[in-house]
Amino acid sequence: MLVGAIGGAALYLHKGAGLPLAIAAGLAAITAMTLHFGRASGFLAKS
Amino acid sequence: MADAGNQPADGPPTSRPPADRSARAQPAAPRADQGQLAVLRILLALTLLSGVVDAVSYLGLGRVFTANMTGNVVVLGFAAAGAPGFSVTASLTSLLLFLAGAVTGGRLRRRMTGRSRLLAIAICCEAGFVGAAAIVAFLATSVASGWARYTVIAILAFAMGIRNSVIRHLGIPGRHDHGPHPDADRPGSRLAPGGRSGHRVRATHCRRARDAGRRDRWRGPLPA
Repeated sequence: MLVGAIGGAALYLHKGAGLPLAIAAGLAAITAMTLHFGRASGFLAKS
Repeated sequence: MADAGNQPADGPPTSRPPADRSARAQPAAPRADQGQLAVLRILLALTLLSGVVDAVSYLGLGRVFTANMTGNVVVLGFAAAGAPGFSVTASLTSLLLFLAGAVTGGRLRRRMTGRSRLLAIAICCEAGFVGAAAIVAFLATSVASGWARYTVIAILAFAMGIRNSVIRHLGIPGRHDHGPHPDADRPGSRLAPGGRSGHRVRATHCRRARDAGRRDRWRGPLPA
């Protein structure tokens, strides 16, 4: 969380609010795809 | 005869040596480890994302948190006391939309069956909402004031409320995607139909672990 806060603050101070939020949305999308394909591959399906 | 050499001479034909069973059981452990590692990576990514969202909201939206509701309550106290630079309206907007998101997450999890699927859908929703907030921030001339400020606050807080409620439903002990107190979203979760408080979630895991004869906490991949 600290790393995210530092990165988000640095991006905001240099580029404004749009870019860090877009990066956060992209990160969330990548995370969702990781979860989806991880589940499809069986790693996250059931214990 | 072709199979005569494969059958043991003095044992029943259906019996197998113990070595075959152990060889079959071995691949399950690495798969469980990889699943656990994948869940850990996903939660770490979500934690990183919370830091980015909180940094942008605090610095760009006028000293208001949209993911860290514990900090937001403190900020609301500052604003209520009249400290300069803090806004009661913005903090209340964030709190109320976070609550609405938590209720929505509770209703969502009531309709979903698999936990992995629920988490994937919640993160997809979050990606969409944060992307929408990014579009608003790009289009607006300034997000520090005006309609854009409250729109971005509302969208981000709603998305974080959904995510926090769903993560809490997973019931992974000691792992929360946000830094605040783990009970931050409890009102929203309990308001939702069928919502369970954290104590009940932990009690369920402890009871299941006790029934299974295990003393450790839940460590496997996401159960269905």
